[in-house]
Amino acid sequence: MQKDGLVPFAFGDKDGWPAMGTFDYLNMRANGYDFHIALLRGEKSWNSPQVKQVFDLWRGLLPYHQKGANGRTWQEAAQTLAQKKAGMTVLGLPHPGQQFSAADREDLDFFPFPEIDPAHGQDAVEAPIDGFLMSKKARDRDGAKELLKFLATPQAEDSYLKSDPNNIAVNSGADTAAYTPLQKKPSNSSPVPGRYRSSWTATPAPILPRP
Amino acid sequence: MIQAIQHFLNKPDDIDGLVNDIERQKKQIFSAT
Repeated sequence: MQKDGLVPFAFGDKDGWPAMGTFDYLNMRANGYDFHIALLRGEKSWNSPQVKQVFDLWRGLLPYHQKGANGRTWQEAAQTLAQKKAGMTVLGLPHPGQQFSAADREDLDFFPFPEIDPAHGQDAVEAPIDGFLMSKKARDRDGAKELLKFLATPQAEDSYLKSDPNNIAVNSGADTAAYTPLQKKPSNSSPVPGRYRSSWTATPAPILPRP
Repeated sequence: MIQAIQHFLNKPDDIDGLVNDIERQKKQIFSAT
């Protein structure tokens, strides 16, 4: 990639979370899911040899990343991917996907974070989960619950995906027949069930007017 | 921790200082909860 004039890894960490996600992956791949979760629970030491090994590995990869990541947003990093200035990036599929035109999206590929230690393979993912939550003080609790139930249906997910081809449905009953080749790739690379390292973004459900 | 990682991205050679700093932060957080 460097011979072709590309920076191998687009990288923007102005918002802080992309590098945290990268650490999640490096640690899960190098030391395993169980170690990583124990570390995050405070049961393992950050100054242990295992964690030092991860940062040493990361240090060796940094020369292949865009410099000045702390001053670059993930959107700006993803744009360099779309502009063919960078070759890869560690982001969820929706992030770079939003930056690509429909025509260029055919040139976008997706693959799971590579294996580091064969003992741990690729069986865990760092997977942000965006969702809807109901406010504790919702005025119309029954109506809000009905809305939340609807949002989780295959019908609602099918409707949403028609306007966003950069995501995949989580309801197994959703219609995947219209998936693009890009959407099929993450669908076919599912991790071992339960091995998610999730970050959460909460969007409170709207407070519905009283009937 | 975000700040510690961002510092690492700028100056990745002091790994011992980095992990000791994060471990210190962790102990402060867990002792406060």
